[in-house]
Amino acid sequence: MDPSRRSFLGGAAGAGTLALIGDARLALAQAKPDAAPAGTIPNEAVKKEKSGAMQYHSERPLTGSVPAHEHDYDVTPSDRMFIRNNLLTPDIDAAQHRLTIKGLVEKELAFSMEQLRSAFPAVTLQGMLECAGSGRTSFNPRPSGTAWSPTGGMGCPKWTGVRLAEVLRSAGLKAGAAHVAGQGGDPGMVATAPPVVRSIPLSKALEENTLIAWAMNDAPLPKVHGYPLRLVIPGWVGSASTKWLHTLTVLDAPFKGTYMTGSYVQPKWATEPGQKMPPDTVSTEAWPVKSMITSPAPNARFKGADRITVRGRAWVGEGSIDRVQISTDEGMSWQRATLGPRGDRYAWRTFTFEYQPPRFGYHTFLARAWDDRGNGQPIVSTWNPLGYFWNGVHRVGVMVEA
Amino acid sequence: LRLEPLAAALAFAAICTLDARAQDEEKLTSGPGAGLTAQKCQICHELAHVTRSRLSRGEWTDTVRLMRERGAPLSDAEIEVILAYLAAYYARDPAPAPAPDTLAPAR
Repeated sequence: MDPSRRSFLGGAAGAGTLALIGDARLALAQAKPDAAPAGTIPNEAVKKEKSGAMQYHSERPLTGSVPAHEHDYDVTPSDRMFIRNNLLTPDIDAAQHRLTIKGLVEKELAFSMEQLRSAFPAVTLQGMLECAGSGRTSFNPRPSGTAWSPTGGMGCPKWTGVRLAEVLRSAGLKAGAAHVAGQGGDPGMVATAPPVVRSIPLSKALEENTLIAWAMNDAPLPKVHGYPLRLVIPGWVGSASTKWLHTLTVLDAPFKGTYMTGSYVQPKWATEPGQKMPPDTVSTEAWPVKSMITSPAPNARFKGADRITVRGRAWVGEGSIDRVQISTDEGMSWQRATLGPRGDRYAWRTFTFEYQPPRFGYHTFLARAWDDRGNGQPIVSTWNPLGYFWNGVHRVGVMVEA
Repeated sequence: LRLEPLAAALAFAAICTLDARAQDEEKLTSGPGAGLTAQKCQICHELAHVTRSRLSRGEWTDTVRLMRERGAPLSDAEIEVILAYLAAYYARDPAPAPAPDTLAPAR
């Protein structure tokens, strides 16, 4: 890991080193486009640890996910968790890794992995992460960006770490502290690539479910998912959960940088579909209510006498799931699905619906979730230039044969 | 009739088709500025990010500006050439549909 990348915003010192390394990367990339630069993990090594059900949308940056019917798990297995890198996957030595807390704090702190584990109580919770652009290909016209399917780019594993709030309080917050920025150690292909920095409001940083995590599903974080340390802001757009976390900076305002202002923003007022981003924008934060049918698979075959169990998952970024409805007549009428037990606050909730087909032929199921604030899933989500927050109702069709 | 050779041939054909498609996605349509566009975009990402996109000139302007913000070595003059190329060859065509008011078709 190039140490000069650790300084927040680069800084003048070390700029020469950065330029040299960048040129080497650039030369390597041009000579051999698929080569992984030094200090990074090749995509093939990442993919070896993932499920065969993964579908990859791009190699540079690496992005991939499993389709809805491969998500039929109460807790997402690590090998089915979606991948959305902005840059390359760094190869970080956990023994050398430090987490620095700076900015508007009483005392600047740096923790090794061991110090972090011993200084604060460990917390395990199940929490939802979903890429802001998940579902992008459902928007019409199609916005630019990763070609996520309607149900691609999310997962709900278990996370273990310490509360961000406790770490911040140990450093002591100064007057004016209002936002917390996380910086990741992932390098780009060129020296001029700014580091990935995202900030969240202090209120979210101090919430008890916001973690600095080192484990996913009771095992160390896989390298592509942020090893050795990442933020987990469950329920919010995935980009808030900085992977390969090495620096937290407490600020008086949202961080100003390309990953805050150039992406992960929405028009303040909805634009006409197909238009460019207007000047007035708002940051993307919590996901709106959403659900997907995880069984049966699209075009599954059933015998006429078979009862069909429709199963799926529902979630919302803030608040809780109130109910899930199923329609078997393309949305003319809706019936309640049965909700599984309520789990952790930001975990998705399983729903089931038993159905006896009254006839042969093609049948469709539509799922629509509602939250406790009266928000339901729309038929078509509001178009926006970067294609964020698709949460339209999910539809699966099956065949009932004699 | 032995089906194995047929199945093998079909599988081979399928692989070739997939491969050809993947290769096509990595090739820009020829036109003024295609060379410069390919050279600059490929520094950081696959050309599929371009070839899968159909955007208005305004959206392309935002996208290229964002890429420069993300470190792409692009001069103003190069941006002009690249924008003219992208807006011509990877434009929304036909014009954007009216606001969607029905269930988007599965794609």
